[in-house]
Amino acid sequence: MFNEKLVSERLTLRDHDDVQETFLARGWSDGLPIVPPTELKVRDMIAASGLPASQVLGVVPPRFAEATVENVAVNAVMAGCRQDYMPVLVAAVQAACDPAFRLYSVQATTHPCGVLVVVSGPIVQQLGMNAGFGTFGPGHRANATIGRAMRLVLMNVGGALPGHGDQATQGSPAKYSYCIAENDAASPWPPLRVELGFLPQQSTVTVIAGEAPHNVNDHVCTSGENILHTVASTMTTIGHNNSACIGTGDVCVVLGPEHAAQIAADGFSRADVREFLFRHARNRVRDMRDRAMWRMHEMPDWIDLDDDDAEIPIVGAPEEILVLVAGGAGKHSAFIPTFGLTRSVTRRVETP
Amino acid sequence: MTLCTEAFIGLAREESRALGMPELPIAIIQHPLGGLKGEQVAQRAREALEQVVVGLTRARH
Repeated sequence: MFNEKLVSERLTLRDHDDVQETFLARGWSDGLPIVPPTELKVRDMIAASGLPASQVLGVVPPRFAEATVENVAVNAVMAGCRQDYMPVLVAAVQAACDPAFRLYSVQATTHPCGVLVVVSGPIVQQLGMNAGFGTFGPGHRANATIGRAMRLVLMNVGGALPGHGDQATQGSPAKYSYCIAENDAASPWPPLRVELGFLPQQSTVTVIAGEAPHNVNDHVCTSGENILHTVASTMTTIGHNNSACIGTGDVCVVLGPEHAAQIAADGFSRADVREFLFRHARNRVRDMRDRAMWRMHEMPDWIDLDDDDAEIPIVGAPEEILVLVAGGAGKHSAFIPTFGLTRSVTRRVETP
Repeated sequence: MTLCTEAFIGLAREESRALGMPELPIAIIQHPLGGLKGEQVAQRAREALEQVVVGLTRARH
């Protein structure tokens, strides 16, 4: 494999500063300095995938260009990834290119969604990923660079550049790097990957076209039900896409460990949590009429849009609320609204 | 034939090239279209009409 022909353009540049200026000028950067993708580094990254350089992982819109192991490896090096992150990135790119994810819409929309990469399974510990304090934030190489590499692939392979392909009106910090790990040890329920049909000893990646997280702060509740009311309240706003895109996608709730523990101690299973949030995270027709995205999309016909008191859930069924546990100590959780017309996709991480 | 507002012309041209239709006629309308009242939308349509006619008929010239 080390003798495979690589097809990437080769540049001869003077020094580190020349690399940075050239990549910025060519539109290949997210605005931050990149790690120069030398041939040796790229070959090592390709080798870490266990796959041929020319293997196509998917087609990335809006350019509809092929994401190959080679060009994903180039972006992984640029992002600062360690070689053993490559199998996670491969799975994430494949998942994002799945038709169910609707990547063209996710890339080109005026909505600010990023592509949240959720890693679950033994690989979280193997790669030293952070699933504790600051789970959505900076400070850990794997989280930071896998998320960044994903964004660089979407930009450099897919052609989603701000205002040229990526039409997000305002964008989001979630578009720089958006990668978290599920905290198996802190979860009172089976891990998300098991819920989705994978084995506990397998590792998975789930991609979700999510906004940046909305914090759920509940410091006073002593019952799981009341915590879930606070979560439902945070979910119930008319200004996100899920208020009007019902039954066409899922949303995500990331419970902090302390909230999850209280909820589970009061007898809620994960399915119970989803059912509760489905029943309580509802807008009313009167609050939505002629506002937000009113009537832009077909609503399920069981919602009477002529009744001001009729309730509108933010998803079509409880199963469309993904629930996982991540974070450190403290009484915070997060709700992640999504683009709404996209379904999360989960793929197994295959290591060589 | 495609219509789009001026804010999205870059995406429209990128897509027409990516999908193998680089010569796709695109009528460009002033942005925004969303939020306009009926008569304003009708005015936009009148302004775009000539581009649409040219776009649909130019292959015959």
